Amino acid sequence: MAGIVSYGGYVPRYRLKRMAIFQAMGWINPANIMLAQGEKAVANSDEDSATIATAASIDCLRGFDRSAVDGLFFASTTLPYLERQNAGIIATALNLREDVRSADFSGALKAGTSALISALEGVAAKSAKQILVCTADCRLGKMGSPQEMIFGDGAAAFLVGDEEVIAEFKGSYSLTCDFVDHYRGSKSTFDRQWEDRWIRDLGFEEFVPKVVNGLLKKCHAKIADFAKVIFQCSYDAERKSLSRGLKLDPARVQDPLQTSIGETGTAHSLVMLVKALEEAKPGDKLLVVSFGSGCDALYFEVTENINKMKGRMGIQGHLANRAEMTSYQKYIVFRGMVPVDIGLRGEVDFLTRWSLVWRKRKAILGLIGSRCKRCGSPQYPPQRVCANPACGAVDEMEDYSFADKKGHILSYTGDMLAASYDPPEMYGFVEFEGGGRFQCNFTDCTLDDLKVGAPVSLTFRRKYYDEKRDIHGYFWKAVPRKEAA
Amino acid sequence: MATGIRDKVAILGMGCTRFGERWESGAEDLIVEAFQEALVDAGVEKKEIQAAWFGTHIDEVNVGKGGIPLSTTLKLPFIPVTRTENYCATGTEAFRGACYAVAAGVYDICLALGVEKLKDTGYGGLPATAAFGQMQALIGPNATAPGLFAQLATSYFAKYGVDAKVGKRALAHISAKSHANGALNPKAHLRRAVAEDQIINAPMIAYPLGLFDCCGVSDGAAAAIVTTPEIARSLKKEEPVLVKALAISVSSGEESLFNTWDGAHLETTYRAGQMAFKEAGIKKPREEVSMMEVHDCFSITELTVYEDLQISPRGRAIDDIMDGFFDLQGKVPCQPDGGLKCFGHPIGASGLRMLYEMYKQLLERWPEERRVKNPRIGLTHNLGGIPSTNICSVAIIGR
Amino acid sequence: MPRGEFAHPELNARVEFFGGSYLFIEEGRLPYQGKEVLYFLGLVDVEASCCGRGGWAFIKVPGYILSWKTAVNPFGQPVSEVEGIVAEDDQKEVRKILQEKYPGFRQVEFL
Repeated sequence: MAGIVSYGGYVPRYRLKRMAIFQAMGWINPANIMLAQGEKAVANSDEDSATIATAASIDCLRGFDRSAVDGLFFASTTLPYLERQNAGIIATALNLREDVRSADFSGALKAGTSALISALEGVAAKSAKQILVCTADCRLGKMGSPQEMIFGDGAAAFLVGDEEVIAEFKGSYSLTCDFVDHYRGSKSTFDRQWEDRWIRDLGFEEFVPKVVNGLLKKCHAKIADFAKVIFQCSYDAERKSLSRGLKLDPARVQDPLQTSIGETGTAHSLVMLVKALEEAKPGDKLLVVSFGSGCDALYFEVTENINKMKGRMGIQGHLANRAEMTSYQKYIVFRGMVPVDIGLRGEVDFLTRWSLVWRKRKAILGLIGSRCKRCGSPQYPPQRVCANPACGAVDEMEDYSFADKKGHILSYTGDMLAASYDPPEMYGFVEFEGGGRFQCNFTDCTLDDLKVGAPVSLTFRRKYYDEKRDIHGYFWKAVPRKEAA
Repeated sequence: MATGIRDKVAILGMGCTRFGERWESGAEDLIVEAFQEALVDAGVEKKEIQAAWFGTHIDEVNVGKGGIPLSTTLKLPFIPVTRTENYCATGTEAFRGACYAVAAGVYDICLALGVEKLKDTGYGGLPATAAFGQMQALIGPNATAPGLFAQLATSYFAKYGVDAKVGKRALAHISAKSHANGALNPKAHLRRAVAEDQIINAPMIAYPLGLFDCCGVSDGAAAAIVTTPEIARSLKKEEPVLVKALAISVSSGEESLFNTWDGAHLETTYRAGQMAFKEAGIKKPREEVSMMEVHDCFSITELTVYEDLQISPRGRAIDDIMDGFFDLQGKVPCQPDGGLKCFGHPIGASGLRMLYEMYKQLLERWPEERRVKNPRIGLTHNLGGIPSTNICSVAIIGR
Repeated sequence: MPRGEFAHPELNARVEFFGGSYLFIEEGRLPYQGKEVLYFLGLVDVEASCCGRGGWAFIKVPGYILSWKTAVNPFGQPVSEVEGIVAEDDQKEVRKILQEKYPGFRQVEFL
């Protein structure tokens, strides 16, 4: 029976207090005080939907053989590229086989659940054994908008298969409704939204019960069967109203994580699902509902295998890894909302050479180096001539992945002069267990976190953004960890 | 059986411009300035020069490519002009080319000239080019030279258990010594002595390198005219300065790709030093080298080089530094002209500027206050690139 | 514990280096755990380094004051006896206090 085999999650480390946003922008929209509770997760200046989806996927695939993955679906309404398959970038970063199918799902906030349904149906139809579904959003609200208060950044990933599932897929029900509660045209950066009251009364109030009842009828289930009902709705009062209307026990309504993460768009119902799975027991039935251009409702039943899920950060683990974003200005600069001076030297024009990026795709996106078959020395970047002075073998190399290796800091520095969005720029040498070393930037840390010998893990990040040509360039950075994973 | 360069080439004349922010001069002006001084010093006519080697590193912002800029600026009469570029060893490479041509007996009189005009970039820094290639531009960290060399310092301090305060004091002494020397030199850009405390109190750029531990960007040119020892002796009354060794060592890839490099020394410097000492017949560098000009782009570079060149024992450079061993009045004065600290680093010119200083010292041309006592062997050292991947040149001249 | 003499730098006197200059603008004494910590606020302007333009505000902390300006050195600078702050926890705490007291002074170094 098809279902979820594994899950992963990611919440960016930076958190911005909503009061800080209000203090900066409340003068123009005092009504936002109603939304100024808690904090929201915000991506670092080197993160975007593709990178955080990759992080969630790596979390999900821990302990699994990546060569067994037959497909990758990526859902987001904030895809870095309109054309250059984003799922393809992630698939290369994950070092999946070349003969996998892949797709970007976009256009609505239900795209995440739609991708998940497609994957489940594909596996159930036996046209694939395992499909990875990842979803992420880094949505932008205009400065001073309620959206800015509400939106948060986050990602979730699921490995869908039919063996040793942790949550069996029991069925789904969907509604497709061209209900334009908000929209974004192909040339726009920001959503535009219609009246809140209309959205609640004709949107949520109509569609959510309809899709839930549709699912219950289709699957011969009762609402009371479900240990957790997961639905995204950033209107707090509406959520309560829906719960009452559906006769839900409030304890069974999954926490929307509004005050700790924010509304993560396409990813949100699935971020909540990951959290629910982290808390679930065998036998629990879970109902997941998404909303956006209609609804999807999915029914899962948790199996005994849930107890075998270990070593995942998921949403829980990432929530605990937090750092305060100390100013609203930093947030808007990181999100590219305001023009900022990074110095003439920072304006250097860098041409991305696609023939080179293709030829070196495994090394750049996948962090695949080479290991000499003769002397066993791993090397990054991959070499044809072995760097071991005692060996020197030519063309006796095999692919060797560095992204999953344990590393530690060999040397580091905090540089006050390098053009940076968050000085001092931190970088240094990382040496890997088993051999090999390379120079890289450190991220998601302060200078105090860097110590020679500290263990690090590697993270897929946006290395540069070419504003002139609208190119997002990716590579890996190192994050110091407090203790070895 | 090859016998090296020792005593096969003599320096006939040298020239060096004032280094600094030469707003009023372009590369062509600097070329003429350095060349004219060298020509007058050599006592020959331009038409007697049979071949030239021309060194510049970042041609995109100044002269352009090939040997053309040198030839058309100086109106060289259709002679061979070879362009050299090897990072900070560029100037020494130009010198090397000229020397090998003379030693091979192919030409009698050759010119080596290095120039770099860096102050037209508009932002007071080196142009940020993909200097390590396109792949490295996609995967290398967003780094600067101070940050990369700062790691040399932290690794060195960690390896030898150097207390941070002691280390900083030693680095400060290195810089203070150079600034004191530069204050006496009319061709230097920065001519102001600085106290060690002022250096230690200065803010950090990339720990533990502070402001005074880093060199700056400037314009300059230097030139050398070389010939055989026989021709030199026939033209001049005094015993000429002879070339004793010319060594280059380039990183093998080991330091950055393999696991043995300790991050606390410069392997290329060690190897180039070994090759040079062997070529020059020097068995005890600490005793036989009279003076040095080394690549003090950062004071930590100078510190590790003292050991890599086998002047100080491994891990013990700080003792020598604090003893004044490398001060102008010390046993092996280092940077008697003020070094990169006071001249800045016009990349293509620096190697030749160093040779110029050693040459003038050997001929005892400077006023008393700037002179090294009993100079016999002068060593120059350049290091281009970054600690994990670099090019080192070591040249030794003597009299 | 590193004890030593510390010569007070002249305030508002620019120290020129190749790429720019720095100066100290204020001297301060911070009560901390029953002792007093000597610190200096400084500004640096890097106009022309190899790697671009920069500048920032920094704080130097010579350490706990043992004796205050008890001598004058040959350069005319008053000299105090100080004990450097070595313990990481103390450094962290003092750094935090100073950065809160002087927002914008991003770099704190313990001499």
